[in-house]
Amino acid sequence: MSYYWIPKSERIERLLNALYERGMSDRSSEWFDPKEFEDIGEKYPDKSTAIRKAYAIEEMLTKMTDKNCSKHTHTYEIGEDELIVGVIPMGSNGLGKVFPNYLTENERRVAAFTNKTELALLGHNTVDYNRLFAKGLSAIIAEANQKAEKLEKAKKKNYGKIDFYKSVAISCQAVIDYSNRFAELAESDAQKYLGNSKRRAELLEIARICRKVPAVPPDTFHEAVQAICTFHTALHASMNYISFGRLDQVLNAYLDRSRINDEAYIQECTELLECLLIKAAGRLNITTKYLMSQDHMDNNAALGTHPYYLDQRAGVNNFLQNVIIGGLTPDGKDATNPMTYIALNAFANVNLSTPGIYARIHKDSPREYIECIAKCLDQTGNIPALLNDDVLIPALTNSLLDYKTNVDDKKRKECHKLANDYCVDGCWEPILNGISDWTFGMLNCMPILQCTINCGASLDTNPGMLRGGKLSFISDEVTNYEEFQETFKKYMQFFIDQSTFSLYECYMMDEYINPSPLYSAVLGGCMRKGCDKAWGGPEYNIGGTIMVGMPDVINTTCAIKKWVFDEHKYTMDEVREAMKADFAASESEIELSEKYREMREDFDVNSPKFGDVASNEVANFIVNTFCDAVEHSKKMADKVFLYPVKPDKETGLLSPEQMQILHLRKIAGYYGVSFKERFGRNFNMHFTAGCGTFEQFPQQGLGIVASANRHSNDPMTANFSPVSGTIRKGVGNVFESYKNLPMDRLSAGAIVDLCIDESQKNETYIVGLLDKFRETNGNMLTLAFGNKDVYQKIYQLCYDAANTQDNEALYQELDQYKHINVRVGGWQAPFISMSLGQQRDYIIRITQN
Amino acid sequence: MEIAYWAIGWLTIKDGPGNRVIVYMQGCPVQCPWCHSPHSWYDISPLLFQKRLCRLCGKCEIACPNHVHKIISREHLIDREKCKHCGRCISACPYSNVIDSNSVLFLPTIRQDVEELFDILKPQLDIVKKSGGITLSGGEALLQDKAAVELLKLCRKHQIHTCVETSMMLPDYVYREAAGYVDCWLLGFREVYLPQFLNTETVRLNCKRRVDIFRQASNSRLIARLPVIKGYTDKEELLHTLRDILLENGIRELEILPCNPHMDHYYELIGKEAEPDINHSIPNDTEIQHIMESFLHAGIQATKVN
Repeated sequence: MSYYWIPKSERIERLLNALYERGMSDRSSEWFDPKEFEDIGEKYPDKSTAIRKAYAIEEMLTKMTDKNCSKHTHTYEIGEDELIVGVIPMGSNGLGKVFPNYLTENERRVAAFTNKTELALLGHNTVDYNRLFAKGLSAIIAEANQKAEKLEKAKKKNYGKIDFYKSVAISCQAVIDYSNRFAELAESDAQKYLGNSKRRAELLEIARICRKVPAVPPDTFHEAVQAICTFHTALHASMNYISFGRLDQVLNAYLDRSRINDEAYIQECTELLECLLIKAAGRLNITTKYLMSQDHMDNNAALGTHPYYLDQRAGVNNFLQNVIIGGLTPDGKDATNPMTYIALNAFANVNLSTPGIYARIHKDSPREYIECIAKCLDQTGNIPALLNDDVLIPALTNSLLDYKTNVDDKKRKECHKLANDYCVDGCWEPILNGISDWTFGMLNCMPILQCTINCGASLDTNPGMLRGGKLSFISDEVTNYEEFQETFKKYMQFFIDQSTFSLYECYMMDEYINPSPLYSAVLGGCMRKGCDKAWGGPEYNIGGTIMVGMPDVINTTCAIKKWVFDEHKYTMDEVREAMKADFAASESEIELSEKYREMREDFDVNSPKFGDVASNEVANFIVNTFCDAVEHSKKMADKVFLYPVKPDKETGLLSPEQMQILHLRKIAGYYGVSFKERFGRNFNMHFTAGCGTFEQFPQQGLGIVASANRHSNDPMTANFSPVSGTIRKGVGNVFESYKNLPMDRLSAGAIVDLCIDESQKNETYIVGLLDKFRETNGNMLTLAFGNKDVYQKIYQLCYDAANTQDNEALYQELDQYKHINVRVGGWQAPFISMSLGQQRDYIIRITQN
Repeated sequence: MEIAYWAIGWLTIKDGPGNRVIVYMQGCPVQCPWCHSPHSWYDISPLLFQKRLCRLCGKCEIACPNHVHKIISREHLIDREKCKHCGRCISACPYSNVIDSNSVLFLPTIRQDVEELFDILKPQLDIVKKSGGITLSGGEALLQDKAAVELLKLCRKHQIHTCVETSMMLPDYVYREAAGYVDCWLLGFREVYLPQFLNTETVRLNCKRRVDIFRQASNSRLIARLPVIKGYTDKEELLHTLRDILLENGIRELEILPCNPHMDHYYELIGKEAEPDINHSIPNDTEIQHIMESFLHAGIQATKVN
């Protein structure tokens, strides 16, 4: 197969220029004012949360197409060159969201206890648009109404299910109405172009399409792309930051087979997809000048039930929207198709920081596809990110089997098929394609290490904390590496249990606060079961634990092993004190100062480093300990929450073991029935393990004392990458170092971010990089090719702009760098929009190939 | 067997066909005046010192048993004659470490077992093996002939394309020994560029004999290289001789390398003065174009390598 590589059209150039102009301007007035919305909680206090949420979605979509509101929100406009319409209102993971209130006052007050609000939707999921296209929203509404009516006629009313179906019907109808209003706008705009027949025809075609989709299934490529845009806009407007999923698998069916070799036709399709990408990027804030006035963050970020306060600054342009291409079909065949190449072409042409694109590769991926990925990376310097099917599919299969080995072939094949069809969500965690719910907890590994070497307490510089923060149980001082390992395992299990139990717990209240009727309409399982996504509706539930700071812990453990346990150069006590003191003593303490300097050099330079095979033994131990703990935790959490505890039919008594389970359930703060009784007998939560930080690594390092290659409070290392500045033997050796790590146990992903000097990059070299990544069992990879001097220059300008009153000229100078995007951990970001801390880290990160 | 090198370039597209991993080996008998790696001339590189990064703390002075370092009147003086390359000053310096070439003080020469070096190179060679291979440069790569050949053999065994850059000033037996393992030669023709060595006729004979060795041993690609340093290698007579030799020996590829504008860098670091004045050594585009055309007219494919 050969593919066309089409340069971007003048239309796309103009649309991009308009987008950049908006992104560089003050967008604070574009946000909705909450007062512009009706208070749905107040209006319908007696309705269920699900119904109120559906009305809130309707209210949102209505106000988005209200001409008065649009005067400042610009959400009901069709731009000059646009072929795809709909406008996602302002909002982002970092800046927050504005949405009509649908909770009652009492609900809000009690929800504060579990760190939830009406804004607390996690997003982090994906849509299989084939599900939407199979029926269209009208048919989904009809099905929902039919099922609700049937349930209403039943003697024993299941009001939960009835309201679920009603909420689906209300929210889906709201999307159809929204689309129709854009049809009206297109028709009315067409009247303004009587002298421009081409644009008039385009607008009338837009109107026709918006009247048709997503109400009914699309028939053409343009209709399919518009349907995706409308539904995506509605999801994001209703706070569900959901990814696009496997778009090449969906859209390929809508390419006109008779014109597949016609370059002009491929150009049309590429341009339409580019229009969609530009639409999805509409919320970008590229300049940092006006951020403060746009901060709408609520206390909405709870992972599980634990409050997790996001680094808002780092997430300013994080919208959790990715496109996934390539890989395998569910039945294991290569999934690359003509649309795969069109997608790569379109992404290369627009080269925006959002949406992201992830390319799945496997051992039988066509050479042409690998070369096309390399071409895209060469052209853009940072997209796509890579996913290795050869590692992730077996990893996901094992997770779906709950790590059991004695399963029958049928079950294994079934799970394998699901894993073949995997996606990643808006960050990068692997999930199933449109049929799974995903929730996760994040855990910093550094406190686990600190507890191990400090008898259960964290290392803390506050003298009021005495020995340190008492985070867990007390343990003996470790005196050799074997004791270190045993103690580390115990603390790992302790912290992992905390995290995984919390994932189950979050299911206990989501239904009452964060239902997602619109998303549930297309999420596999929900319509069949009559249950919302938050109420056990999806076919599969996956809960991941994402470990932060693994590279830092591996490096520090390597140093401790070498210098404390093997060489006996330092005592554990000396190391603890040095870490607390940031390896620095006052100038008057000459001897101590010299000792710390030497220790710093031994830790930073003279110890094995993550990303080099020399660290493999320690890295294997740390990663395996983590994965073992997740598996053990799963068994315990299932015992407590998942399985029914029923008395013996004959005696009516509970066995001692069952009594024990009920006892444990109470200790966990739960008195209800098992989740299988509550959500259905097929309910299960598959636990996965992953390593990463997303964009949060600067904040995750705060409060963490010094470690190898890291000062106190410095950022943790981004994702599962070598620590910045420690790559000494070329990237080939970095890949080689992952070869012997248990990467296939990390089914929640372990993403390696490499930033390589761009000066000599070329397509053939990038092909070699991709091959080496796959052959050495890499899990996930992002590549950014950068220029240290340019980054340094941008950093200096940003620094000056942030520290100078009269900074207009500096911001103007930064304008020329607005197109430079880099990988930040969870997604791509315009370099000029990043925080100074992230920029600094990036400058150090660039490695010489 | 031990090999000594002063750096590894993990990716270059300028030193051999395609993408290359390049090993810069230690030692060079020729020592061209325009060389931009003068620290490679010796068996062990002199201590490299980045003056602008030094904070004059004096810890090196205390640590050095041979009194190499002296801080006098806010000036860091180094007597490299006394230096035994022990590295104690680097360990003592708060702004240096033994693996960071950006340190204030640095000793770049690494001595390593050939197989151990190959193990380090191999993962990166995996990346470039379909689009290039390995290049041995220097110094003079084949000055360590036995070690270089062992490394080349290992590369051959793993189907890695090999390229060697040479001054062409080593004894014939060295080239005979290596030629069977070299896929591409980057030919330095130093006898032509440094006329103090021999008269033209002898140069021609030497070149012919060596080219025959390169050709007989294997079907190697031969690429001539001409560094263009104004006042040194841009003389019409020299260019004429080179042209003739290339034509006589059927060498049809020539890479023109304009004078490196950063030539001074390593001289500063080892406390030496470069012989050519950098301000007057760099040819302009027209001059390069003129040289290129003179070879192109003779049927030699001349390309500029920046």
